[in-house]
Amino acid sequence: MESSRGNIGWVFLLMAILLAVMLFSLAVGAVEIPIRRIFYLLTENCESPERAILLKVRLPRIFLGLGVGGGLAISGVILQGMLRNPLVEPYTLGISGGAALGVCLNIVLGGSAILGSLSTPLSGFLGALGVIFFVYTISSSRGGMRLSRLLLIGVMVSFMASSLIMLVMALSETRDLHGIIFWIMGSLEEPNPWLIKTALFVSVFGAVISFIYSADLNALSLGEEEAFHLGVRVERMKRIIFVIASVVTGCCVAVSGVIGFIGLVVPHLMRLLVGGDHRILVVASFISGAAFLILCDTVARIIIAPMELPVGVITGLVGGVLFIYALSRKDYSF
Amino acid sequence: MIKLENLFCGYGKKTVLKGLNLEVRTGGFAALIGPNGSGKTTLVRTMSGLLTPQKGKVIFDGKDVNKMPHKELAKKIAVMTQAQTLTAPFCVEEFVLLGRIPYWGRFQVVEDKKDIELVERVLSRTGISHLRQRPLKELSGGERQLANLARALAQEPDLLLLDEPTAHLDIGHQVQIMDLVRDLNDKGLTIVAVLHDLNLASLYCQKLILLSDGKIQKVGSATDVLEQEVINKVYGTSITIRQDPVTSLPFVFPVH
Amino acid sequence: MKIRFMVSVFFVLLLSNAFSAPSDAEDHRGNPQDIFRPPQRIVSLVPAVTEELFLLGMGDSIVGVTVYCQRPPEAQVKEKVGTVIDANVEKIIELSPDLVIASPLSGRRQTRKLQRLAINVEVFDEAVDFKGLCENFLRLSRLVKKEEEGRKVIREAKRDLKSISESLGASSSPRVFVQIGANPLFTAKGESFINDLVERARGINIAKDATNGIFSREEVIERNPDIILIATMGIIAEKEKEVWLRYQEINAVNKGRIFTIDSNRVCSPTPVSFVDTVKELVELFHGEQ
Repeated sequence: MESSRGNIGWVFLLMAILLAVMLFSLAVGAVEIPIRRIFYLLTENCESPERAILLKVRLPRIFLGLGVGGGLAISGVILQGMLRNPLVEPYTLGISGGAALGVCLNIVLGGSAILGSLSTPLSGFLGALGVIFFVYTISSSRGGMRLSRLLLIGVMVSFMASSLIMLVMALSETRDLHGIIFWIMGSLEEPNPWLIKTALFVSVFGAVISFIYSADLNALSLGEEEAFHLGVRVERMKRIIFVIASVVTGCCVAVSGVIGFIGLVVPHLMRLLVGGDHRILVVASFISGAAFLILCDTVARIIIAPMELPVGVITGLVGGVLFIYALSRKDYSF
Repeated sequence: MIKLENLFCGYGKKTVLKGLNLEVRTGGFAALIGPNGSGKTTLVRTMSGLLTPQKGKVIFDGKDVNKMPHKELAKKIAVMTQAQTLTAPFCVEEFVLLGRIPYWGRFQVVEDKKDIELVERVLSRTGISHLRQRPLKELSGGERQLANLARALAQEPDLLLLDEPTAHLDIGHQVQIMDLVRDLNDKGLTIVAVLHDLNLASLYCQKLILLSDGKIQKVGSATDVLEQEVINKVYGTSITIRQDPVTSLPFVFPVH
Repeated sequence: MKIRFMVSVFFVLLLSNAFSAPSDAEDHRGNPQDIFRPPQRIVSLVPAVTEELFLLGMGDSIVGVTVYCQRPPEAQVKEKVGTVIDANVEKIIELSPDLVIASPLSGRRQTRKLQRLAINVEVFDEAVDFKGLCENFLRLSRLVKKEEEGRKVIREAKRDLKSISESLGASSSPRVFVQIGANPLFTAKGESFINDLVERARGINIAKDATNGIFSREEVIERNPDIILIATMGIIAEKEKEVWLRYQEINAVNKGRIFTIDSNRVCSPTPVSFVDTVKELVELFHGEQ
């Protein structure tokens, strides 16, 4: 259709922006490396600190930003689409709270002594899964998953998790607190390449599944009853969406900590830009979520170099401003 | 075409429909009438397979609708609900295209040529081709209802269920929609419509089904069903019925 | 509430960055060919270590420090690679150091990343007393092949402490409450080396039995200290002093014995500055008698 074709243009444009942002992120940092030298360093095989900075410090961060930014954005899109509520974001369902609680307990109980550096992401993921399972069980009844209940329970679980985190923090050693606070603030600095690959793989996988279900999501955005009349197996679909969003978010949070706002802001901005068709919205959100996070991370890296701001500070500020701008546009409604 | 056999249905433990037996033949045009809360919308939901009966069956072309696969059901039965609540962020064309989803395979997310042609056809059939790029929420009530009808037609159904297709519309749009629906009926589409306006029901439908308190009070032609005594009793009001001089169909007037 | 809690916890963490014995044997590994050669390019992510390196005469080998490394003044002109808690990996790689000294406060992600890039990172744990401080100092001096100098510094520090202890004779011990954070009220528990400082200055830390640093104000009034020490700087210390003045029931308040001390010196000492601080505390505790 004509309108869709026009919107595919947006996808290509966003793709170009993402590539530009990735290059920009590769080129700037606390250490200045001229662009010309970057190409030389990337093509020539030589040992130098600068090459290590490019390939082993900046590039992994970019890839993690791609996975986490994209993953959070599509989770936000599909959850908002399913719940038909503009205030929903991946963390609303308590996933981040669960992950943070898992990490807290791990740090306090000294899980790293047994599992080493993998214990943090693992405990985060388990915490997220625990909460997901809890929320899912409570909000499901014989008649299927009740979405309004899902939302309320998610919000309550978030509150409970943050209270428990404060409890754990109040009872723990100062040196453990440091680890907890830093993890909660979120960062794309991840030394383990395996984790980066996993996060990237999971979120791309989630994006593909979301894309496959995008037509059904369109039907669902008319309401559950209408979706049923269009032949969508609504209950199964809701379960799939919930599981995908949860697992993708859980993975992202486990690897990078709690990075807020992307799952809320990016879907909204993309709705403004490309409209409500999920077939394009999902793709556009993945790309722009990735670009947004990589850009924010780059800004966080360079703005007060050699010190670094938590990336959540930038995503929150930039995201908040963009969000308010989007809402103040007269022609915008969910 | 569609048959109800001793149908009991409701929500949770509450029973709304209490033992309905009914048949609508292929090519029929039936109106469901009755006061608020008599179970009209529940009946539409049960006929479309959305609700599972507590007892009894809904048989469509010899098959139990609750046992048919979702997609197959959506290819046979289209439902047009009350559209004023539609706020989905689509333009008309995208919205109508949603009617093609039942025909898509598991991994299909993009429309093919046939889908595009069909959308084109139903848009012009409902006379809203010029609105194709307009967002749904910018449409007037009448236009929105037409878009809704177009989407239902894009499903290429054998049976069309309409839940108050003319609610909140001005007289012009009411007639436009009803004319369109009758036209579709003339081309062979079976139609069951919930109607509040007894006169529209009288004017357009071959068969009127009067529901009251979850039971069928009366079934038959307009002349059979629209009797002063019955209507007064069921609706708890007083009306008089006259004959329309042109069509000689019964016409309902409130009196006080 | 949550934010304020985190911020104050953060402050305390920043304050209490001193380090003791290595946590495990793994940290002792080094490149064999470097065994006899002192490191040439050191990055210190710990203010106290920076100071200690200068004490050991290794100042010229330092190529990178944190923005908190203010002492000695020479440290201020060194290249900055971030903060105590957040080091910039890129910057450190660019400096191509042969030794990076970190603390448990340094971001774990960053230190692990550096280790992955085959950079020699030594992590020093938090000290809880003077003994740990000395072990930590000795380890550092061995790392930079200055063991003799290190032992000498420690010998002198120990001698000074001993003479302080002797000079105090049989004077009575005041009961002391040390505040290192406000909102929540944060103190030094028994296993902290502020406690050690207080005890070596012949004071009694009334919060010695606390299980963690958070301490209630009621408990302070109940235990009635003779002296309140506020280990923060500037406006916060003045504000806290005003808060305490409301509780005239406390001996320390009644007698006007609320003092503020330089939190940097108390919380991130070298063996030398530890002795200086003990001297200062002795002055405060026993000076007027």
